[in-house]
Amino acid sequence: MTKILIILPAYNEGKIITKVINQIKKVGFQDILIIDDGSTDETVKSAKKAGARVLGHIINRGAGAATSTGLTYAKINNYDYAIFMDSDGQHNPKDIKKLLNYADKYDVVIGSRMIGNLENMPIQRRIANFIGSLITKLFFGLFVRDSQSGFKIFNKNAIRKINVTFDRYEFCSEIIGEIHNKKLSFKEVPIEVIYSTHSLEKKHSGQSIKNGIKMIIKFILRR
Amino acid sequence: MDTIQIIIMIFSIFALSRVFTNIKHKNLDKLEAPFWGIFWIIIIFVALFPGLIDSFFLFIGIESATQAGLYGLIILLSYMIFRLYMKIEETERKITKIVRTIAIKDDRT
Repeated sequence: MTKILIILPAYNEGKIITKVINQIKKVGFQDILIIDDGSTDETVKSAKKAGARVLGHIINRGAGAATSTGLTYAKINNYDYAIFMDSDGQHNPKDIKKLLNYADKYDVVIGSRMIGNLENMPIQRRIANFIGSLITKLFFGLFVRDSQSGFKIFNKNAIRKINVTFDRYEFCSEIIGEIHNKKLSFKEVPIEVIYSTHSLEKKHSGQSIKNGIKMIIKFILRR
Repeated sequence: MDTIQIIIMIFSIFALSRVFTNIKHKNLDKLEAPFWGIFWIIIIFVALFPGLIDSFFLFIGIESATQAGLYGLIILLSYMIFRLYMKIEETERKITKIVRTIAIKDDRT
């Protein structure tokens, strides 16, 4: 039987995590792992109550670190597929099956917000995503339309090979670099994005200009 | 040989040894390693033959020893900031590794 794990890196998502877990369960996925990245709110309590398993970082280490913890867990427990989604409710769980349709043919399936209908996406986000993809191409050699997407499926081969070393928001670009360097196959599939007030208000967005500049400096210094 | 020449040489040899240690521990990549290696070898060379530096400074438009010292200091400070950055990065990575190990270990117990 195919082992599928849904992984949600989460930091202070107590207000919405229950809803997100319930929606994922409703579309048929029961094995849900929350990587709590040192939340100070009700995230852990709410997630456990909603029936998800929780792996907790004792202090906040960033989305990249949480993603890497999720990949390590999937590797240790021999999962066939690790499905990463944002925990702020911006991804539609109904898209999981759509992405899974390609998972047997590709090592990584990326849920892309930049393909298809972009009307929902605020213009600033569209520009930031495009710039993020250009920076990724510049430093990691591969252009994907939505390099900063948090909705991804990794198969067993990708789980084993991808190594995330950046702790913060730079990890999305690093994953694209890993796909390129380790010659993994990938497919971008359009997904629906739900921009709620909650997801737009999040302070830890990886797409601000300040974070973009920090990202470039880190990439230069790591070279 | 002047005292300052000896001091610069001792310091440069020490810095060069640090470069080799970092190459050994893979903290410097393919571009940084030769850059810092050559940089400190040049400093040792200059300390040994200070006369050569005057004509070089004139050639690149540096007019006085004070000016050269200032530039040298800027380079030295840049190197120190770079080293500090590398050290912080390494420490951050170690902290993350510890946090991850604890998280996974807690799940098993």
